[in-house]
Amino acid sequence: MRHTSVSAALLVAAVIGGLGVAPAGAHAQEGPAVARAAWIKSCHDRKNDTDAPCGHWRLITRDGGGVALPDAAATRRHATGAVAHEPGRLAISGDGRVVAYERARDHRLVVRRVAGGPVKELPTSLVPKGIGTDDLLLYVSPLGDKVLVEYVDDSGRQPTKVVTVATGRTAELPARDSVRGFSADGDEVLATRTAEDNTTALVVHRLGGTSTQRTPSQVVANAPVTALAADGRTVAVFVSGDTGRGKPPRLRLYDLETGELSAGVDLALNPGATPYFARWTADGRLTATVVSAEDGKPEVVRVLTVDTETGDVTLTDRYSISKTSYSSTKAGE
Amino acid sequence: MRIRIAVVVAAGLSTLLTAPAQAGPHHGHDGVRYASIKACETKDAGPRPCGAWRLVMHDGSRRALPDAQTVALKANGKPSVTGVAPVAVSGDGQRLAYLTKSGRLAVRTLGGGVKLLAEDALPRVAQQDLTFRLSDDGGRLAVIDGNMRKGTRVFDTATGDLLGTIPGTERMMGFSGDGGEVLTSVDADESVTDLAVYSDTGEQLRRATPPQVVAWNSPQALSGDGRTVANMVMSGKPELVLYDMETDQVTSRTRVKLPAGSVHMIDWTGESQVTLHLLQERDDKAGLMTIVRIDTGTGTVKTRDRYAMLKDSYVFAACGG
Repeated sequence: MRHTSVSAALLVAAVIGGLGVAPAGAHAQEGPAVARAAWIKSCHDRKNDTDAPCGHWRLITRDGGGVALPDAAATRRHATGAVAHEPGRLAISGDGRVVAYERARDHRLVVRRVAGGPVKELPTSLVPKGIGTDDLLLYVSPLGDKVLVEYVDDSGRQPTKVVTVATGRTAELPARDSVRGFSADGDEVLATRTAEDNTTALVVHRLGGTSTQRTPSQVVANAPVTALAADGRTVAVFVSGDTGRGKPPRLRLYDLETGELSAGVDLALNPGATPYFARWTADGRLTATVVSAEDGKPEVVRVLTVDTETGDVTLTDRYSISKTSYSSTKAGE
Repeated sequence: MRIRIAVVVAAGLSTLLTAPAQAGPHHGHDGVRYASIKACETKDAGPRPCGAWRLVMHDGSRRALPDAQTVALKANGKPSVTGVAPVAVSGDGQRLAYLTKSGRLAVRTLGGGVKLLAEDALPRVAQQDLTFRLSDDGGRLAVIDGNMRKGTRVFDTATGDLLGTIPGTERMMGFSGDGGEVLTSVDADESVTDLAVYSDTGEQLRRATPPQVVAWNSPQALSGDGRTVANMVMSGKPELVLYDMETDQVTSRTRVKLPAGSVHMIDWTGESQVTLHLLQERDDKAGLMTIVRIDTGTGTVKTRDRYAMLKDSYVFAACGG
């Protein structure tokens, strides 16, 4: 057995000690307790001429330091238990204070605070029979109070699960939807749904069970990056830049309740600098993360605050990730 | 092979020249269903086009197009070996546009003559990069550069005059039902696909960013009114979608019951009639084409024609409409 069973009562008790305290004014605080990103090293296998993740996941902290996470699995597992030569699942909350990952020794999903403290085991039901960690995607809510698991196995039948860490309560979202991410306050999940007529709808799922669905215009449906605000209806829509035509990426705001779409603004970015992901912060700012990756060079990550009226951007954070990295994940991604 | 090539050529020539001048009713027995070129297997280089164009008529008989180029010539004048020279059949099956063996652009009317267009009618691109489209009544011809560099040239097939040119960056989707306009699709800014309507003189009349259900269910066809676009949703339960480019509204979505096949062509053939060519590919068997007419008001579907394609076809060009 890969998973040891833990009673719900035990889990809840453990969780209240560690994660129940909501971090206030998260973005204003700096220090080793806040992670910007995590990365894992790449090793070359000469025999097979392949690259694979190796060593430990490492957190890049806000104070510029690094912390190894030897407890997090370096590689994930197929449903059979066989090693999948891709990095173990790991995700960091938007505020950078909570990290969720699959544990090295048993591949169980767990969460802990970046600052330290006990490791909380998540329900074993998150990795059901027939599912390996290779078959799922992991998300942590902006404040780290919820963990979402989306299943990408071939059956396509496993409903997405959202666990409230403090209570262990699990909500399910339809398996057919593709998750885009949590809203800024973590109370809703934005997803896309492909219809039989080849159109794609945006769906907001409230964790209470209700949802709102709307089929937007082409520009919204084609946008690679979206972020749902705390109001559960305003979607920041990042339209790709076009290097061929010299057009910068654009921002539009879409109201999922009314279907209203703003005319949009050009972002003060190069045509090739389409944000990699975006999120609304707890205090209502919109941030976009732009990465520049060139082979053999460190990945440079810029976190920008976006003025939704003008498209101006201000640099909020900038860091780089080792060029020896196999893979990385950023806080709130 | 039931008929030897030589026989077909001889028979084709005579029939083409002696058929009655009167076009007769739409898709009468003397109309062309499609033009096909045979595929000949080679030892190790795969199939190649060979022989002359075969015109398969509505009554099932075959005629030839003896003066037409078959294997496309490259820009340097040498045969491309695997490329086929362009051919188009008008919606009513009465006119054919093709390249003559001497490389001239020609429009032949069944039972009528051959109109040779000006020597400089063609853009200077390799023959296999060219595509021809005729309007439903054959009155207009579009010459399209597949590489989208040269503009789409629109000709009057009666006079041979060049009427106008449409920017090459816009994909020609087809003529409007009455041949008066051209529908194009454009890769626009912000990663969206626009539809645009041009007059046959090359003037942009309207442009719109249609909703997903129109943009992502190709192909689209423009009505004779110059503003209503029809397209089919084929995944799931088939639906005919009508979209008004003037008001940017989907005006109707009608469920229709269709025979098997995927949409090969869609054309407006009347004020409230859309015609579909539905092609059913079959493993190791000839493709099956079913042509249906849909009443755009009621969604009623009637089969106009149904035939098995020549199994040995390398390529074929069906009439629209």
